[in-house]
Amino acid sequence: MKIFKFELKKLFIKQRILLIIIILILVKLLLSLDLFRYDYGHLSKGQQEIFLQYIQELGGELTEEKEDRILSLYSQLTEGIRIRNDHQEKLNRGELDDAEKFLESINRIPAIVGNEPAIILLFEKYKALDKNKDNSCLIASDAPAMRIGTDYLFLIFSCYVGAVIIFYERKTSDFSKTCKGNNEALFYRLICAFGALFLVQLLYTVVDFSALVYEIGFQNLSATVKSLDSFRNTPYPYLSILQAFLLIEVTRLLGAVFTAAVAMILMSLTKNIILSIFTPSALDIIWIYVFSNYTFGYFQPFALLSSPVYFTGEKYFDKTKFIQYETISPFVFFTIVTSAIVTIVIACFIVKKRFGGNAIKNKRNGMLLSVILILAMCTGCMAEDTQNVNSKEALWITARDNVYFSLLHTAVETDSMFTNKTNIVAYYDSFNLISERLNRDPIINEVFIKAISADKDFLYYLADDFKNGISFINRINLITKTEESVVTLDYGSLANGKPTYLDMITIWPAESKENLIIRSFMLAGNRLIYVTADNKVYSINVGGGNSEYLFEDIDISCMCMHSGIIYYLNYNNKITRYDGTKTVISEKQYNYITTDVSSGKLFCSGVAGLYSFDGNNGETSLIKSGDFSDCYLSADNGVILCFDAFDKSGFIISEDKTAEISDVDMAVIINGEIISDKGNNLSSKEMQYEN
Amino acid sequence: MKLVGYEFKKYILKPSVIAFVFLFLILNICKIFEIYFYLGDGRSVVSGETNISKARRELYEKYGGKITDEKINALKKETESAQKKLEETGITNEPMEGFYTGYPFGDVQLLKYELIPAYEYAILYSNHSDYITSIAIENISYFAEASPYEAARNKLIASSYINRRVDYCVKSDGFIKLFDYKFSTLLSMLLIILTLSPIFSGEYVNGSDKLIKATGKRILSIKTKLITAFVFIAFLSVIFFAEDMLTIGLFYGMDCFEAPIFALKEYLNCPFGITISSAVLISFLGRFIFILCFTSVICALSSVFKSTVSSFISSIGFGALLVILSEVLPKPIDITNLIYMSDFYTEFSVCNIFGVPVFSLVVVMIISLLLSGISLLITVRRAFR
Repeated sequence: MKIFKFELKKLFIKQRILLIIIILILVKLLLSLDLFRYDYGHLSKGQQEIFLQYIQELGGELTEEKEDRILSLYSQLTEGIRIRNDHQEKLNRGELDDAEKFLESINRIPAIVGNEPAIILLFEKYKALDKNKDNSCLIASDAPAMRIGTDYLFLIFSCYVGAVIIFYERKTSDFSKTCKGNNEALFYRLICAFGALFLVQLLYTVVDFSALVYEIGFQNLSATVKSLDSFRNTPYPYLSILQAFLLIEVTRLLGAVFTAAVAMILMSLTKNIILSIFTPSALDIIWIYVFSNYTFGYFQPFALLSSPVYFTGEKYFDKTKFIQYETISPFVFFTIVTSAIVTIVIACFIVKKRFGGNAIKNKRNGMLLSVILILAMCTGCMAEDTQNVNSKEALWITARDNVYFSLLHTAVETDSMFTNKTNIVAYYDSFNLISERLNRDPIINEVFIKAISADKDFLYYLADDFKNGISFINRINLITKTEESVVTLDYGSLANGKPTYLDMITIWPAESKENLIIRSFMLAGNRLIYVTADNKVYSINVGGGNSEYLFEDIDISCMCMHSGIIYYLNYNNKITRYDGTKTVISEKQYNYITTDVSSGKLFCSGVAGLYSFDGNNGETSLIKSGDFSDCYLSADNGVILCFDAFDKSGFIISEDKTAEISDVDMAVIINGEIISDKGNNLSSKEMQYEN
Repeated sequence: MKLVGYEFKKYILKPSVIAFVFLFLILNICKIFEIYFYLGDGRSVVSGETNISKARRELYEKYGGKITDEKINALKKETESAQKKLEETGITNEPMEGFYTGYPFGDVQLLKYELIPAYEYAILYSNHSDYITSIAIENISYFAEASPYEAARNKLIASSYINRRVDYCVKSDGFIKLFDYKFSTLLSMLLIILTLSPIFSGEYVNGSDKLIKATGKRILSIKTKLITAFVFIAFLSVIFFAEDMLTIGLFYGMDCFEAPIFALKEYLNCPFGITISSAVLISFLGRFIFILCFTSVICALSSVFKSTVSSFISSIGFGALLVILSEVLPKPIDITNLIYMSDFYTEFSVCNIFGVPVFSLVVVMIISLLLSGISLLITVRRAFR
């Protein structure tokens, strides 16, 4: 026992194994944060809630009633989608021009269509279980904790443990062989070394198990492992999730012990600690770098450290990621495990031969090293989609003091490579003074600017860089004329994954591409609020920083702000307010809403007329009747503009007086004045009001 | 010189190191082939050259290189005749004589959508550079008072892009793969850790540091070790870069080294008006400077730690740190950017150094050399003390 204590002290304290274990666990905890997530995170927040409600009702072991309910939900959804498509077709054919017909048709679309992503995910999960329902459970999430690949730090640690086990003895073997209890000490040393690996693996298992329970819950641990998406094609369908998890962890431990054994053999034969740590680590890391895309890359015992591969079965789609390997048969797996165990036994034997007992000093047997390496290696040989700008949100005239800004779109036809240039043009005072381009970087010339907005010192613009796949909001300092980034979302690297860490790891995003395209934005004091293409609303400090998620809806249009409260039209075209919680405040449907910041009023328009409305309860009062469903609104200083961009005509209301406006491409109200744009020339229009 | 030879024998000319160098050279070829097989036309190597890859190769052999009026006319003529034949026969499954792909449709597709756009790019490139230059010149006066830095930056842009012309049609795949290839440098890093991490710490372990001190030839010994290290990394850099070039060139094909770098469409906005051969040299230089910097730090770590295990583990830690930081650090201070030049050739990237715009490539090279200098200083001060 005394010898065991000495060996423990030698390995854990002198060789700093204990310190390394503590560091490893800390790093593991840090890196495992990502495991505590659900794989339905790609759904919007609202859809996630709906999906979880369904899982609450229909999850767990499948019964006939539950199946019927899922099938019924799916058929209702399919019918709803059919009605929606009919409505869309009629709309395209122009059969719904009449407001009543339109409303009648849109009201026929069942509300269940709004739950489409959640129901589809539910049905997909059900369908995956369909073939083998025995003991199958409908589980909300997959288990990333059961898909962890090789942990490079654990790999290097295994090599280290294998090499340091005979660190002192490599030079004193002749002396120790003459000592009493040498064999006993060697035995304890091996126990300590493998114990260290076991301890680390145990702690890793605890972390992974916590993540697994967080993802799928205790109640589902006994379900068949086929219930998990990633294990749909497993060659071991009779295993429960818990059994599969434990087998994966045990296999990983075996991989670590094998790696340590190889390091041990190298150390015994070469007595060079660096070579002994370096060789197995480098070979394994490089092997993964080069061959991880191919099934044969896993036909060798080092790959036991990437243990899930042997249990998941055939290649599968993991949302955005295509896992590129095929089923590794139980026979091949068994052979790899056997060769690993044989190598471990051989390693122990070699160590005992070279450092244990009173053996006569053997000659260095280079052949043995070759044989073992060949044995280890032989087992490996056995077996642009662009987002349309919502025209009613893309007001591209803005102003600051007496300077007006607008967008000028140009295309150079002679050269197909360099089209789509958008410039921000500034007009001073009375519009006949010099105009300048403000976005002046000569190199970035293929961006499409979608919207602009100005405050006291800065002009903000929202643009898409299609070539590089970037959606961004920049701001131009109007004094120094320099430009800086406020928010940049990179959706370009999503399609093929983004190689990171010098191409060692490819990152596949959890977010959808739509969440990385900015559709519109508005300024609110020192915050900038923007909406992504999948209708999520974020807020960010104008000086930059991290975006803060605010809320989301199925559809968000015409977003505006009044007294710190956000108003918008939801998917049903009803006015919704957000003041920390979302509330639909109008019964009727409208096509446009806007706010007049200076007079503090809110306006909305639709098929029945133009109204002002109360932001607290949505009560409206009619300003002018008529069908204004194709018009956008602009209001400032008590003047309201209602303009149809297709007909290029509209009207203005100021203090109950009305004036018609026509023959301009677009118009907005700025400081109570009508600013119109015709042929890329801005002008201020004098209006002739009538009572 | 004799001492350098001894150091070589002690640390580098060991069977294990030589075996690893050979093994890594083979693995490097495997990786290049894997990229070629996975992303390029590599499957044709296994299954026999496909019609389309054969046709592409023949067309580039015929029309690639310097663009001349004869080539333009011949290309026009061939396209017209393939188009005419296609109109006559329609899309057919029957192979025909006299077509590169064996079919008129295939030829039209290749000529119209690959070769002619490549010619158009070359011929129209001057419009693009002239446009950038004119905007930059206009900007110089625009920013003159409001932002002198922006004015200077635009001046640099104007001088970089002025009078650019492309009269080459270059197949770009090979060069892009070469400029973007990182694996061989990672292999070199591993070899350097294996061989050079014990270069000083090994002497402490043997106790020979005391002998070196006693002989009074401490500086000579340090110099010898450093020279050995740098000869070794020069050898590694040359051999791996040569292997990258030869293998990538063999798989993808590389020619027109005298063409400007911006003749490759992917480097349309390359800030440097250099030829492809110079770009290849700069790429090599970048990798060498990175390896030099890495080696200097490894030597410094080796001189600080008195155990080979500690210096080895800390060297691995430094390598891992560089890899992790490559995702975090801004480009001009991330020395790993020197491994792959693609980013520097793609973007006009400059840094504001006291109001003067300096190319990011130059900044990162200077930072790497400074880091090397500091590390060498630490080595000289700390080793065998």
